[in-house]
Amino acid sequence: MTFGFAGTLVRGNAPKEGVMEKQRGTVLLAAWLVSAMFALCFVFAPVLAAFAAEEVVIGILSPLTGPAAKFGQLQRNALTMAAEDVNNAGGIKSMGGAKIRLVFGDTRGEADIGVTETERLITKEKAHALIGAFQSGVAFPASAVAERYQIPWMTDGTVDKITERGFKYVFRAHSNDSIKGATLVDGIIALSKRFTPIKSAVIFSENTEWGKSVGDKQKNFLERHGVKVHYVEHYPYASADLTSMIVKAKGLQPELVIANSYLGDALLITRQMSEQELRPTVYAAGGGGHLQPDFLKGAGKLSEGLLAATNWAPAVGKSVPWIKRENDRFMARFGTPLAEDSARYYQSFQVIVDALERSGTTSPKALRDAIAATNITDINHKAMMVPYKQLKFDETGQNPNATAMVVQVQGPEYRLVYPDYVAEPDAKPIWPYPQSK
Amino acid sequence: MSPPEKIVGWVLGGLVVLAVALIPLLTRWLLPDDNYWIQILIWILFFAYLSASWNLIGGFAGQYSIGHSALIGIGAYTSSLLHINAGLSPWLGMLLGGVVAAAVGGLIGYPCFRLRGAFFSLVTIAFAEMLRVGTELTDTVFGIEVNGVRGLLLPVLGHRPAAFQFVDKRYYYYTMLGMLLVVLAVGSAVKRSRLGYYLAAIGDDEEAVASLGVDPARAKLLAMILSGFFTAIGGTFYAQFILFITPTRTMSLDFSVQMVIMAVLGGMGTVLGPVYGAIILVPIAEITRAFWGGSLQGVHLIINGALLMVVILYWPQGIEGWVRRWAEGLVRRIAARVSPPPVVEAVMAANAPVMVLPEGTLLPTRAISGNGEPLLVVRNLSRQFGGAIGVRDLTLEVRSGEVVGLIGPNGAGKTTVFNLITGYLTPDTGNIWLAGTDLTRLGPHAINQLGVARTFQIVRPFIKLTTLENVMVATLPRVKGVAEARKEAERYLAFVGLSHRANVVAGGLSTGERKRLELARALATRPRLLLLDEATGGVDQRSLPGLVALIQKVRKEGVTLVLIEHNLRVVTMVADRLVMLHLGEKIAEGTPEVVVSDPQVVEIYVGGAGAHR
Amino acid sequence: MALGAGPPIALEFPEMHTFLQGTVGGLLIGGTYALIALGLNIIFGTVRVINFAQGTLLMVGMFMTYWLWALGGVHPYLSPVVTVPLLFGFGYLVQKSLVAPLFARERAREPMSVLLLTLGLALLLENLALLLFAADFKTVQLDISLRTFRVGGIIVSVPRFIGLIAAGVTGAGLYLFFTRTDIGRAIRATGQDREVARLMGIDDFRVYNVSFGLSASLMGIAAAILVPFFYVHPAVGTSFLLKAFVIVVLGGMGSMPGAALGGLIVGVIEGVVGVYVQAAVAQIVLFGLFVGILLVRPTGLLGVERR
Repeated sequence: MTFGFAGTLVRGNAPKEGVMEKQRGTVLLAAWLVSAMFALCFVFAPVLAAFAAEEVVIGILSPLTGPAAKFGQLQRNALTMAAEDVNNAGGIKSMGGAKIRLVFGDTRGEADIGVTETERLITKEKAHALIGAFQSGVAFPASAVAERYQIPWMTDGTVDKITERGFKYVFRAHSNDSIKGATLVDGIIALSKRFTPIKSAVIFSENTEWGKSVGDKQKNFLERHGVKVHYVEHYPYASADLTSMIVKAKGLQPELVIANSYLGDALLITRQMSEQELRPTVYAAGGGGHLQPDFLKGAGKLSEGLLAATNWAPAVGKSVPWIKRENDRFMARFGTPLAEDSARYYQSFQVIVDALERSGTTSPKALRDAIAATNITDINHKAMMVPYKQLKFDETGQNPNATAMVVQVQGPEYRLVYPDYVAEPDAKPIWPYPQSK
Repeated sequence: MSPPEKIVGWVLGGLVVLAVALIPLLTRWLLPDDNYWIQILIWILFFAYLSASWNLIGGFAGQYSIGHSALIGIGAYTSSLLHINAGLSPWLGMLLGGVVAAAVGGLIGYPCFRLRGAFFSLVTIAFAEMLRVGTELTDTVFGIEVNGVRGLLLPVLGHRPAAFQFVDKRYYYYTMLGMLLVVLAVGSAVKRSRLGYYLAAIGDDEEAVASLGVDPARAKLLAMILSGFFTAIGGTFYAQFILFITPTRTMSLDFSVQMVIMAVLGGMGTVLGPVYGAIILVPIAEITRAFWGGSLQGVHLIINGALLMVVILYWPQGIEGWVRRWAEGLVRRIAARVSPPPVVEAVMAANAPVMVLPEGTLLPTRAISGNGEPLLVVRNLSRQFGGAIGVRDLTLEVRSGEVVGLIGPNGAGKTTVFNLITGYLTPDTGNIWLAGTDLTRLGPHAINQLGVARTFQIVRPFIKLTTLENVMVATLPRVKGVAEARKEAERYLAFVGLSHRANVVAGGLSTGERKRLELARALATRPRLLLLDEATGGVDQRSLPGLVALIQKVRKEGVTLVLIEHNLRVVTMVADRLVMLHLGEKIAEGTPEVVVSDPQVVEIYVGGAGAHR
Repeated sequence: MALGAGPPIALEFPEMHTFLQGTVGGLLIGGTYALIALGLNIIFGTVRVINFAQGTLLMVGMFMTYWLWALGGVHPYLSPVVTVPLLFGFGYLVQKSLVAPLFARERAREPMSVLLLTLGLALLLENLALLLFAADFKTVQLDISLRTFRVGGIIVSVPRFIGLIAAGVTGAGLYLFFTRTDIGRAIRATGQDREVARLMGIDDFRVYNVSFGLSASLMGIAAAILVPFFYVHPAVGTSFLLKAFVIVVLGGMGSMPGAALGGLIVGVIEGVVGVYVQAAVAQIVLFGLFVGILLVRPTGLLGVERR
């Protein structure tokens, strides 16, 4: 039966059969084409599959395009450099010099794309281990795929829940939101004791897994310190206009405003705060977009005085020389310094390499066990790009010794200001947020 | 198709289904690690399924919903929430989700069907977006965690068939294959059923369908309910396959558009069209993603967009036609090889005797009631259009068995009167009664069911249906089954002398034939009162006498007639009484001789002193 | 039901000031919305089709504006010199070569196939942009981007204010065009009655081409207004398009003053709901309004019932 638009009018002559004529028996005849097409595919596929050479395939899930593309590109660069270093130094020695091949999955910042890309990296690219996905909202479901296929997954993403599901194949070397949130709040409160007290706060969080998690944690910690948190507003990730949100907050005149955003929203909020004259004493960020070099460029003067929780800042290199060298190398090659997330990806990669050397095989279970047995305390080990006292995983897969720190934007740089043992002595805290003058 | 051809067709079709079913088993043998390929095949089946479900309302009923992903979301969330929170097996949750979606689709669709095509589409988009944004904003509902934009992660249970979860993708393949076959079977059944005929006609000309006593909204509602049910079930499959659902993806505009494109490419109103569309578009998506996934984004969507445009411009009926013709050719050749058709049969078929009906037996007794009381009463009927007067204060009576001619120059309001009587327009003031029943506020299909039929000034056959099928749309509401409807329709065709053109698509009929078809169609609704609007309009001189004879035949069947006629000669021959309208008002009434010689009438028609012959 | 967002709806009643601020913000952006809706309206009023690609035309205009600035240093407010004629030509061609053949084919007055065609075009353009320019959000930094001035206690953003003025001027210009010029009147005539217009010697197909081109060129102006304070991204067209549909239906299909009024109303609703509840909820409210109007009063606020 043919319905269609105006076949007869176009052709000019009426076909003999009518629309309602039955075609009993010609059901699915065209699937002959299907069978033929796929028979051909299957003939060629084995040829491709036979291409196996001894190499280690590591899959990387990153937002290579999309609102968080700037992050993703830095991550890719960091890993490219790290992998080249390993390969140039002779590959994985315990596997006879097997080379590392990186395969990238662009998550575009979307959870379901992350899920399907993870599937692809596992089933088609045959990745032996995965790192991902920067955005917790993507990492959360994508790591479940890895668990299902039993492929080791090094998490990049701070939402606590990721390692709290009883999964065996999911690990995280860096700190989670609880630690970061506590660190940020502790830092702000410590500074407020030196300068002026914080009575109330408003938190702007993007409506993602991360935004919700980190915003809630920050609220809890603030309230424990006696700060009244008016509310946590979850605004739509990648918004066009946030004026209403800022106007609403302005009416409450909070001393503290915390924003948990990716880059675009971070810039938008910062600018519109200035525009709408929302001028808190302290402007802080839970991480993410505010820590990107592009944020400094984009926000200019307005970024001065921002406090942010981070896992890593280039200033770390001041106390650990090899990190500074590595960062300089990266900067020379790619034009920007590493950022918190790219440093974390780098670290996760090194953990996998370290585990491969110990396992001597890419077999998933063995590799997984090797990762679980990781125990690094040497600060000069490449996996200590984000330095901790110890890099070891507990039964949930989290590194309990992971810490965070607070940086402040001073001049066009992120200076470490908290905790005291990492604070740069010549970085005098700026208080209040200058834009509030 | 002859019996041997039918058998060959079934066999070939069965072989194809078998081949498709065997693919997953073969691939395991051909290449050990084939998960990726099976996945692509599953996506093909999945999208074919969704597209076919959409087609039930989109292609069959011509209501282009571009918000169908909302139904996918409803299905996915219903079964998933029940699974996560109540431990209900997704198999059951799937059916529940289908019911919910069918209900939602029906409730929302029904009032929207009366919107013009494009507006209906816009409304569906609006609803889908509302649902999506609403779900994104919702963290918990009555304590049940929905998790808004972050999505729901379904518990990983490994191989648990009772919970609709498998490790080996093959199981998903067969599940989806089964579902696809079901929805295709449903589509095929609908096509052949009463509903299918109605939908086909509605897609062609909704107003004309209403004039035959069929309520278009109800037919579309049924299609919508079916479509909603199946679409939602697809949503559950998606949830169980990916084990992760977000409102942003499952209820996205993109998803909706994909369903539409596949159906359009494949062939919108056809049963198999969506399958072909999926077969072409899904591999394109996968191949482009596989080759360029990291660097070039969305190439397949560019191709989709371009293909959609190309198809709409050049092959609007999709590729189904080609495939079917090729397939039918193949079947015929094979069947001819197997058992050649006997020549005698063919000759006999061509010389089948034409049905001849004895006079007065066409219509069941209802129509015959020529006892002279008023059948149609119109009182003080008025209707304005903005400032223009359509009809002003018209009062009219038509007695049972009469033939009344309604005459007047262009713009006099004659067709407006018909539209008012048959419910296509509502009067500003006045009432209309048919044998005591008030018709004034009723709709066209209700009025037709009470016994009023009409033809249209500009003929409106269902051009994509055959002549016979056109009449069947009118007989179907009045008989038990499709077969009986066909027999009935054949009688009416015989009555108007179109039996020899029964299987010709109406688009290929001449004007005169179309007029007769419309007459047959109107008669098939078994009317007591028949309104003929310009029955002789556009008909050539030679065919006139035949048409006039036909009108008189109708009269002999006991049908009361009101004719709008420009051809004074015809109308004076046929009518008992004439009513003349001018600028919306009745200015003359009486027997033809009286009216025709009325000076006012002459003035208007001829426009000057004296009368010409 | 707990909304996944911050403040519960019945919070401390934001002072009048905040409410006014939100309203003003809404009015400012409403002018630009109205401009986009006008584009839709012109096409619907004459060619009688829903142009699904209207949003992507805006997106194309915005990208042109952006690249003129990024590569050529051309200030966005000057870009219409280039974008308007280019978009006009593009729109003209789209109507002439893509839409017109469909009219010839279908007997319906508002062929559904045109909707699908423009949908395909939108899909094509949006993803082509995605391919060429990636999915990042591009922004333009000008010194006026952040400037504000105060009126009473209300802060008004300069680029948005300029946008409102520009939209108003464009609207006034269009009004003059449609009432004073021959072409404008020809367009209106064709919109009211295609056949009669043809009988009066108006080449209705040419009128359609011009209408489409005009509608597309308006997007060049809208783009110039938006780029200084709005990000540029391939998918930006869709969100504007949906809002434009709401406006057109609210104001009345085919009514220009209706589109202007509708634009302001939609902007204000967004601003007020955004301040009281959340921006995302405003979307739901707008769509609900959209559906409600179509069902209850399809001609909108100022629309004219057509036969």
